[in-house]
Formats: sequence, C-alpha cells, structure tokens
Amino acid sequence: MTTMERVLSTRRQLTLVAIARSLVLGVSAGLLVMVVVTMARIMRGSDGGALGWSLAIMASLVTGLSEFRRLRGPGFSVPRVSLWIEEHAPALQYALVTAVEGGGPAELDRSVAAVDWSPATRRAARRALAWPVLGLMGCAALLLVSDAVAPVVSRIAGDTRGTPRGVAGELDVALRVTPPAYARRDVAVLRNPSVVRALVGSEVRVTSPANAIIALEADRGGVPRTSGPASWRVGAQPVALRVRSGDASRLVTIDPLPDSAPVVVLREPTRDTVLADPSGTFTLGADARDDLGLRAASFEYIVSSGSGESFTFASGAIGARAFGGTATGSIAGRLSLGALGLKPGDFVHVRAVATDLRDDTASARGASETRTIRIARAGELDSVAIEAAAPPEADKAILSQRMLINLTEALVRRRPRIDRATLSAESGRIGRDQARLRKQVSDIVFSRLGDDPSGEHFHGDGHQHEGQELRPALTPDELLKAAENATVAAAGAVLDFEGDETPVVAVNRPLLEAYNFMWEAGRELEQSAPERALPPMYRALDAIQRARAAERLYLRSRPPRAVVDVERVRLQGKDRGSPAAREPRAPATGAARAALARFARVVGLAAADPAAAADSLLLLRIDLLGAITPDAAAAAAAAADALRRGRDAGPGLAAFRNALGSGVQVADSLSRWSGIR
Amino acid sequence: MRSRGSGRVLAEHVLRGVAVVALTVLAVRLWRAGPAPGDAVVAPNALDSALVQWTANPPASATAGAGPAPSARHRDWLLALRRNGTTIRWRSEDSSGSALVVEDAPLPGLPRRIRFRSQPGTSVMLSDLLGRVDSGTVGASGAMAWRASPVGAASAVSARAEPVASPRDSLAVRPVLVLGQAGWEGKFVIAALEEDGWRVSARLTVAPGAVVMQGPVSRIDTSSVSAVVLLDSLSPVEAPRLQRFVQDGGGLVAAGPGTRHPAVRAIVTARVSSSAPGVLGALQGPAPREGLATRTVRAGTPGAIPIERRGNDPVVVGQRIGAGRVVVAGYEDTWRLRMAPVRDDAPSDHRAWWSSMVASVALPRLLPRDIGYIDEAPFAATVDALGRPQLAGADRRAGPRLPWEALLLALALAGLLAEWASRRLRGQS
Amino acid sequence: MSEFVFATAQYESGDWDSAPLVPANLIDSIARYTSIPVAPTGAVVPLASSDALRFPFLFLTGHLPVRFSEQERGTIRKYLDRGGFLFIDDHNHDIDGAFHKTVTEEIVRAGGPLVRVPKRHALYSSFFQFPDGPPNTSHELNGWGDNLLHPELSAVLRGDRIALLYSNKDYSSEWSYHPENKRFSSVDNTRFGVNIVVYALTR
Repeated sequence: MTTMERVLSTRRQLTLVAIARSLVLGVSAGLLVMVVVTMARIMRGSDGGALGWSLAIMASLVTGLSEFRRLRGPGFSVPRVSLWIEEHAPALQYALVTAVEGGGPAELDRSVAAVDWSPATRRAARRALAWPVLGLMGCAALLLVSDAVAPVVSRIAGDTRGTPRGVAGELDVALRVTPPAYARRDVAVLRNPSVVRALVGSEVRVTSPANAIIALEADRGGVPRTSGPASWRVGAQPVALRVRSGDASRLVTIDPLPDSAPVVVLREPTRDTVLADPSGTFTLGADARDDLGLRAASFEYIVSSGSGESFTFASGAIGARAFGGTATGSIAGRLSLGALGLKPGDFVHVRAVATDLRDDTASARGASETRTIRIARAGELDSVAIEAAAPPEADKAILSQRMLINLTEALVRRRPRIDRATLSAESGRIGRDQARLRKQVSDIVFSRLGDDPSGEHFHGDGHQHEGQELRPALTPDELLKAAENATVAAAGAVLDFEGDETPVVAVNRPLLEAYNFMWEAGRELEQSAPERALPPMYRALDAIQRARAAERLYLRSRPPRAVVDVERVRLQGKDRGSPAAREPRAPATGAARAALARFARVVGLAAADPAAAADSLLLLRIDLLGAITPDAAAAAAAAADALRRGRDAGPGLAAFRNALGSGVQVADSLSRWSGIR
Repeated sequence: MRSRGSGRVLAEHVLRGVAVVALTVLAVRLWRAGPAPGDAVVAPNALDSALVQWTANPPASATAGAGPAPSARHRDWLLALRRNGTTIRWRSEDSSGSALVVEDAPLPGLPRRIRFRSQPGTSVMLSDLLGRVDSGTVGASGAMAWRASPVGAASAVSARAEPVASPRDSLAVRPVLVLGQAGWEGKFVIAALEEDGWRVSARLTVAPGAVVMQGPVSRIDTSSVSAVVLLDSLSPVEAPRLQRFVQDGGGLVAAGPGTRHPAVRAIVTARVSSSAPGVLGALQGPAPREGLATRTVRAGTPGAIPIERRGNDPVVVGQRIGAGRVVVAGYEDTWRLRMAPVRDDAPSDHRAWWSSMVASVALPRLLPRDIGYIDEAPFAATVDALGRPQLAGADRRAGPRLPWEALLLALALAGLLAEWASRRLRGQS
Repeated sequence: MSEFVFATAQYESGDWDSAPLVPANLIDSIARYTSIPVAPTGAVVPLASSDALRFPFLFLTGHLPVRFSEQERGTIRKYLDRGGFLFIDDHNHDIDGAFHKTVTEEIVRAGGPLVRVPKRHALYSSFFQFPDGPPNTSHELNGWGDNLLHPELSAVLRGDRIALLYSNKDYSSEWSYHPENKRFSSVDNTRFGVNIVVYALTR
C-alpha cells in the first residue's frame, strides 16, 4: 500500500468518525429536548407530544449539522489529513506532506512507510466518540426514567409553587389551604388539584391566576361557607366543590382529615375494687397522647349514693394538668376516700380525661376506661353472693347422688348374701349420706329463696306502684309446701301462678324435685329397703342433672325469677294490634354493585370526554369515601388526575375497580347446581 | 509434515465449511417446510399487513399461519378473500377450541357469570377494558367459572385463543316474596336479601289477623314474583297456586319449618326429619352451617339433587319441577350465621348464602340487548367460516422433537465465530 | 324456629339488674297480644361476652353511672352492625342524671350518634298505634324524677333502621311489676313494649 493510499484510508476513517460524532451529538441533543418536554408536559398536565417531537428533531439537526461543519472545516483534503496525521504521529518528522505531494527522495518514502499511524488514528477516534456516546446513553436513560420522576417532581412543584395548568376547558385555579390555628401547620398552596386533603376546620380559599371572579357550590356534601365567596370551611363530611368562573368550571373534592380525640390510658388503679371501709387514699395515674397536641388532662370521679329509686350523685375533678400542645403527657393524683364522705353501698367511678387543642370540647375529649370503687354494705362481706365469682368448691365429704346410687345398687346385689343387721346398718349409712346430700340441696334452694324478703312480688325498683298489691314473703315452710305442689305436678304440666305455687318455685323446681325424691329415698333407706329407695334416687339424679343443664349464672345480684306461663296467657290480651307496612332496607352489597355500574359508565366516558369522566369518578369516589380503603380512594384520585392531564388512567382505574371488588371465583355445591356463585 | 500454522488454517477452512453446510441445510429445511409454490403464507402477527397486501394483489392461495385462531375481523376478511377467488387455508396447533361465555346472573345488580372452556392445563388471563381481572389455570374439567363485573367486554387470553364475550341478554328479576312468622329468621332473611339488592315483598304474621306487609298484595304468579321464600309451616299459601307458580318457572325456597308447609309437601314429596342439633362450637368455625340445627331432607321425587349434606344426610336439596326450581333447606335459625360468629365477615357470608340460594331458583326475564364486538368461540367460528384447519405438525411423529433449525443455526454461528477468533489470534484480520 | 328470648344486658358498671320484673312483664305481653313464639323466662347475658350476639334483642337499664369497658363497647358495635336491637332505658330519670349523662356519652362512643325518633316513626305503628309518639310514664305524669315529659325517644341508626333505642322516660319503673297485676289496669301500659319487640323482630 502506497503512502497516498494509506492517507486516503485515514481520510475515510476520519470522515466516518466526524459523521458519527455529529450524529451522536445530534441525537443526544434531541433526546435531551425530549426529556425536558416530557417533564414539562407531565407537570403541566398538557399533551404537547407533537411540539416535543418537532423541537427534538430540530435540536438534533441543528446540533448534528453544526458539529459536522465544525469538524469538517474547509474540507477533508489530503494535505489537511496529512497534516493532521503528522500532528498525531511525531515519528513521521513532518515528512508525510512532502511524501504525499511527491518529489521527495526515496528514503523519505521509506521512512514514511516505516511509520504506522493507525494506532494514533484509533486513539483519536475513540476520544472523539467516547463522550458523545456516553452522553447519548445518559440522555436515553433520562428519557426512560422521566415518566417515573415527573409525578414526584410534579407533586413537589404542585405543593410549593403550583405550576401545572388544567386541560383545555377546565378552570385554572389555585387553592390556598389554611389549617386551623391550633394545629400549628403550614399553609399549603395547590394548583389545579383533583383532591385536597385538609384538616377539619381548615379554610380553603380558591383563586384564579387570571384574577377571574370565582364562585363555589357543593356538588356533594353540605359544608358551611366562610365569609368570602371563594372560600370554604372544611367540615366533617367530604365535599365536592364546583369552582366556577364565567363558563369555565372545575371540580375539586375535599377529603376532611379529622383530628382524633386524645387517647387516654388509666394506669392506676388497675382494677375495680370493693372496700369494707370508706377510708384511705387511692393513687391515680394516667397517660395521654394526641395526634396534634394535648391541651389538658385530669381525673374525673362520680360518687353515687343511695339505693332503690333514691340516688344522689356528686362529681369532681382532680389532678388537672395543662400541656399546651405536647403530643404526649402523663398525670398523677391521689383520691382520698375519706374526703369524699363515702357511706356503705356507695360507688365511686374514676376515669382520666384529656382534651386536645380544639375549641370544640365535645369531640376534643378523650377518656380512659373507668374504674369502680364500691364500699360494701354492712354485713355484705359475710355473704358468698356479693361478687361475681365461680361457685365455691364442692364439699368433698359429701357423696354424690350417683355414688349413693352405686352403693345402693351394690347393696341390693349383695342382699341375698348378707344378714339383716348388716343390711340395716349399711342401708342406714347410705340413708344418712342421702340426708346430708339432701341438706346440701336444701341449702342451695334456701340460699336462693329462703331469706328473700320479696319473693315474686318484689318490685325491684324500690317503690310501690299504685294498684299493685304487696303480699308478705313466703316462709321456708310455705316454700316447701309449694315445692311439694310443684313436684307432684305431672312433668310438662302448666304451672299455676294463681295458687300457692310461685314462679320462684318453678325456677327451682328441679332442685326441689331432687330434694323431695332424696327425702323419699332416705326414708326407704332408713327402713332398710334399698331396692325401694332406688327409683326415687334415680329420679333425684335426673332432677339434679336437669338443674345442672339449666342456664347457670353467677351474677353479682339475684337472677330474674319470674317465669311466664306463655300458653296460658297466649292471645288473652284485650287489644288487637294492626301493624303498619314494612319499608324495605337500603342495599349494602347491592350499593357496591351499583357503584360498579357507575364506575363502568365512567370508564365508558373516559375516551370521549376525559374531563367529564374525571368529574364523575371524583363524585363516585366521594360517595364511596368511608366505605372504601384509603388505597382505593387514592387510586381513584390518581385516575381522575391522570384523566385530566391526558395521561394513562388505566392503572388507577384498574386499582379502583379492584378495590370495589370485581372478581370472585367461587365453586361450591350450590354454584355447581345453579351456576350462580 | 505440515506446520502448525497450516494445520490451523486447515481447521479454519473446516469450520467455515461446517458453517456453510449448516446454513445450507437450514435453508433447505426452511424452504421444504414452507408453502407450496404460489401459496402466500403469513404468520399470525403479520396477518394485518398481509390481508391488506392480499386484498390489493390477491394470490392464488393464502394460508394464515399456526397460532391462536384468527379474530373475528381477520376471519371476516379471509372469508371475503375466499369469496373473491383466493383459496384460503388456515393452520392451528390444536383443535380443541377455546370459548368464553359471559351472561348476567339473576342477582340484583346483575353481576356477570363468566365461563371459560379450554384444554385442561391452559393458563388463562381474564381481562376487560381496564386490564386483568383474574388469571388461573384450567382444571381437569376443562372449565373455569367466575362471578365478576367486567367493564366492557371480557376476554380470556390464552396461548390457544383470545375469545371475547359480553352478555347477549339483560335480565329483569322480579321481587321475591318472603312468607313467615314474625321472628329473627324472617327479619334476617329479608335483611340479607334486601341488603344484597333484592326487591322483597313480605308477609310476616305477628298475630292472627295482624300481618306485617311489605310490597303490594299480589297473587303468587310469575308475572309479579320471581321466587317465594317460605320460612314457616303456617303462612296462608294455597298449594295449587304455589304448584302452578313453580311449574310455570317460579322459584321456591323452603327453609327450616317451611319445609313442613303443606304446600311445599304437595310440590316436593320430601321426607323431612325432625330437627337435630348442630355441632357444638361449629358456628365459630370455618363451616358455620354445621353449627345450625337442621332437618334431614330426603326427596321422594326423582331428579332431586342433594346440594348440602350433614354427614351422609342431605340437608339442602334442589330440584327442577316443571319450568321452575325448588330448594328445600333443612337448616333452622339461619339468622345465627349472621349474628353468632365472631368473624367479621359473618353478615356478608349470611347475605351471600341466602342471596345465592334465592338466585338459584329465581325466575329471570330475558331482555335482548345490543351487544358490541364479541367473539366467544374463535376456533369454532373459524372452522365454520373457513373449514377445518391444517394441523401444524400433524405429519410429524408424536413425542418431543429436537429443535433442528435452532441447532443448525447455532452450529453455523459457532463455526463462524471459532474461525474468526482463530484468525484474529494468529494476527490476520 | 327458635323462640324470642327477652335478654337483659349485664354490664360491669352500675346496677344492670335494677328492673328484674320488666322481662317477665314484656314476655307476658308478647304472649298476650301476639302469636310470636316466646321463651317463658328471660336471659341475662354479659355485654362483654360474645354470647350477647346470641340474643338479637337486649334490654339494658340502671340507675348508676354507666361506663362500658372496651370489650363491652366492641360487643355493642358488632351487635348493632349485625342487626341486633339494643333497648336502653334510663331507670334513674333524674334531672341531668348520672345514668343519662354517662350512658348517652357511652352510646355515642360505642354505637354512633344519637338521633331523635320522630313521632311518625314506624316504631309507633309496628303493632299498636301510638300517633302521639312514645306513651308517657306515670313517673313523668306524676312529676317524679326530672319533672319533665320527654316527648321523643332517641336512637342510633344503622341505615334507616333503629339499632339502639334510648329512652329516658323510665319504662323500667313503669313496667317492673308482676304481669298478673295487669288485670287491675284499664289500659295495659306495656303495649309500647310490644311495639318495640315487634319492631325489632320485623324491621
């Protein structure tokens, strides 16, 4: 290869490098313009796709051509290329131009031929292309991530500066959200938001950059307006505000953020207490916290005195402490029972309350659990029936009815083999055990009936009603007589309240039956007739089991005793009712299905009129707010925003649809038969 | 003796030769696997442009390549070309066909009943206008079912076909008549149905001559009632009228004491046992109906189908009678399903159970509707339009086959790469 | 079909058992005027227990301050949401009485806001007709307690249905007598109780 051919080859390479560099820089410039246009388009919510492409192509052409012109200069002539080679290959000792132009000595050609300048050419090509290629890759990467970055930038920009513009036909507005003063939060300015989340009590002032006259009306919800025509006070309910100015309008929904009531935890006392003596001091302790700040906290107590219908109440507060807006706080105090002047039977209810910084004291109050301190009545602590507690453990010395039956059956089997005296002794022993058990049953019955002063005629409310006759309580003997009457009645027979028998007896009837059968069995056993004792013993066991199967309640007070003879009084009333018609209930899941149908219409509208679809979606969202999850509400807001800004609303719509509960796959026996679910 | 360099050159020649041979064989295979001369063949993904081309310059014959069955639009276009004189063939990799049906369920709000049929093991994605609704794999029965409310037409995308479907009819569901005594069962059954969106008429007897009414006083016939729910054995119902209602297509649900109503016994000659207690604690478990007291229902009429059993005993029985359906449910006090369980979803479960039981018998009225684009069974429709497909690979032996084309291409590329690398390593470009 | 069981709610604070004869009296009235199957005796169920959910009708009364525990509040919330009917009556009926003050606060915390029940509400015509709203009690007419006639009842609603009915008319005193003594009255004053039960059972 001659020297000239080598130079021409190098010229081709350099030309290609210049073209490549110009192309790469041109494309990089175009991509950079696309990145900027994309970000601006997303942030402003405008389309601008065609403009972006035009700008990018122009930038590419201008940059590429400028670069090529710069590199080419007057042209890639052989002398210029030779000079460039001499410059980058010092070993040529500036002999190349001479060699190329010809006329030089043969040694010159040989010395030039001995020098290889291709490495220098490659190095130069690498240098010329490396940074532009890296730049190209960077711009491409930026373009790829701009879609993800832009919403974040948009949000930041929207929160602080608020620059996005609405789509054509929608009003361009700015919302200044001023939280209530007590919240001590910053004012936020939002530009063209679809949804505003603001603390209850915030003031939302709407302005237009064009200083147009603004009018507000509520499409949903009824929030009180504040003084100006373009401002709104955020209430407890969400509201859809229609902002109007001339013919243009925009729908903005406001989600109220409620201020939670303080959370108060009573540390001391830890449990309810019954005291024998109304003296001493209780240590009180409580912790409180609030989402925005506590104003104050204290302990509240109510003292209740009296009985029946005559009660008096006194209340007060102790341990009050102001917090001035801290998020958490603790209070402590001492409750002196002596100072309260308590009497036996009195109750003291204690709880801690805290208020937050709101002026609305009713909803600003949080309260702890309540502890009850009760002063026992005289003699009450001697009774086993004062507190809700498990029944006392059974007396292990007493044989069970089943064991007595077993012993009696064994005695009957052994009877042919034992003498009369042994039979009499063993039968008498079982009879005495049976008597002890009967005594136990009678104790239970009398503890429930015997010392009760009121019986079935007790009014319970401590006062006598006109026209209602009071009768003396039954004595235990009378009760037993009633029990006899009850137990001789046929099983399942209707009890007669109008005789001596009482509802009290009826409730205890199984035990009274057992009592009587035990009596009978004991008598037979005492007479050394165990085989005759067995039938009543079986019936006593059956009655005990029925009593055990009955609902057992371990109540602080006496259980209700009256049993109504339903069949006897059935339809005996003098009056006849004439019920009014029933009105249907509102659907629950049916409402969700109706929401889905509305949602389908929104989607159907999205292609033809995205702004109207966005409005419909926001109204649907506000109707469902509270019934849907926060994520679903956010998805709907994002979808509405995307519709307004001409972006892909599909993901938001799909997320909202999924939150509404669209797809169920069920296969059970009913569905296999009917194909319904 | 050859030098080391010449051996290397020889190896390079060999590698080059191997590559050339591999590429030649590959080309021959592809050429032989191709269409007959004069036949225009196009892959499914290029069918759109091919159809335009074939319309402008109709070939003598054309073949739509193997893949999912052509869509309705492609199918119509191919049919038009055939009628224009072009011989149209199509290929398919399987002949099983896939189909999708969407229809309104006779429930309030009309959620849709979606059924998909395909080969067992087919992975399918159910989607609608907004994207994916659900996905799954077809089980051994070859069918899948959903109850959903798709937005727009639903499509079931699988490797075999992409059927698109939407309901052909709207349903009108008339009110349900609930008859019973005033009590928790009546209250909560009506509540469940109304909360689920049913229109309910009710007659709840409070006392002789005192009935809580809801809805207009109308006769039990299919023009005014879609189903009757009978909850007691005393409500005044004329057996012949109820029988005619069911025969005409009306639905009947008899539950609890209602199973012993003389009118029900006249329709379904079932033997209903006395009530047996439920399983203790089951109300709080995963199958709360086990905790309800129930009666065993043994239908004496042929065609009765046990729907639910307690052990081996049927407790819910379904039966078609005439044009109608009857469900006899032995469960007592089903209101406990709503109130008693600690689980939070107990009310919705109770609501769904009652609603689906009524929906399974309710008589819907069909109203034709305008439907958009649907293509419920693309394979069957293409067979109907273009005839049976050429089964791609049908002439090949069964069993797994080696990917010869890919192997030959890999061999050629490897040979060329090795030859180039050898040359570079010995310093020749 | 199970019988209607008149259940009394037992709560930790206060005197839940202050009107022991009300259940029997209303059971008697239900049997006397309707054919609704009714259990001959009432039940007592702790409000803190999930057993309360077994009884869709609960009666709660008392004189003393009411402070529900968190567990009791949770049960009430679930009970009302599921369709249970809780009838709360102020047995204290004193001016700004401790029961009224505390129980209304607790009702709002557990069940939601209390609204007035208008005189034309279905409650007043669910069986017997009470065109003038809730019947006055002898305690109101005699000037006992707060010396006021309370013209309306309050309620917590679920949808448009009464889920919790609150009365400060002291029906607990009015109805707490032995059912047999109804024969001495010219007008049965428990008829409104029948309306409450029928409303709960049919609406």
